[in-house]
Amino acid sequence: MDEEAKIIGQVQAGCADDFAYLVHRYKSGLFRIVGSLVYSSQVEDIVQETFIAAFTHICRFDPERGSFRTWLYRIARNLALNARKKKRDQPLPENLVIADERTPADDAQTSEIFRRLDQALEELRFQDRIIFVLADLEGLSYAEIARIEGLRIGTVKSRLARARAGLKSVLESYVR
Amino acid sequence: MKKEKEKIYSEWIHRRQSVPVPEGFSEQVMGEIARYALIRNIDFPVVYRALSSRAVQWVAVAGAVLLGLFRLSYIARVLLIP
Repeated sequence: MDEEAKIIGQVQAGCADDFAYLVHRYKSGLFRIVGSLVYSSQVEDIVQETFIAAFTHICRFDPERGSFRTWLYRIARNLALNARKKKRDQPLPENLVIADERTPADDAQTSEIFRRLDQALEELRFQDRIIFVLADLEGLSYAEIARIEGLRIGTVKSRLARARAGLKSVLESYVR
Repeated sequence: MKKEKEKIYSEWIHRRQSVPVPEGFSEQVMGEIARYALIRNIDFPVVYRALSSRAVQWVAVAGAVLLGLFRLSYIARVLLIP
């Protein structure tokens, strides 16, 4: 039995303190995912809600049906979608969720392309964006994404291709 | 040019992957978890374990039987003894 499975078993048995291991292990991934799905002001609350929901329902987690990571990411995805629906009528924020305010390149044009790519990501449909985030930012396999989204692998592939095409078209218009 | 596009795209992906986690976030979450765990440990298991314990169930059944017997003897006394 690996370390994570052992820890999950201990949390399921009532050792709440062991949950810290899971928080430490998955917090960065959750911030990456949620940070690309909702407004920046909502990110921290949603990641926290995700961990609390996972803790309170951990007895329902069954390792036979999938990994803890896909189970946790599915909770985060659902909470982000709900939060997004509540704020649907609000205009897009001027500052999208940006990981690092410093740009990797000093070039002003590159900064502008990054800004446009951020905006293009924000404008993708939620179901395409989540797949792009899980695949290209988190590096999940098609099978894992299909499990999180409850889709067939073929659908995951086609949505990912559509999302990537949308983002790369931004590059086309800037870099010739 | 294709290489340049790929480079910019990779840099952008890398930038989006570098999401900082707020300082003290883990402690904050574990504080909330501890609060939930406390509520769960006090409210749920104590009541649940007490109600589901065999000994408590037997005591309850025995108590009910004794109460029933006392009640029956009282009724019998009232009805049968003038």
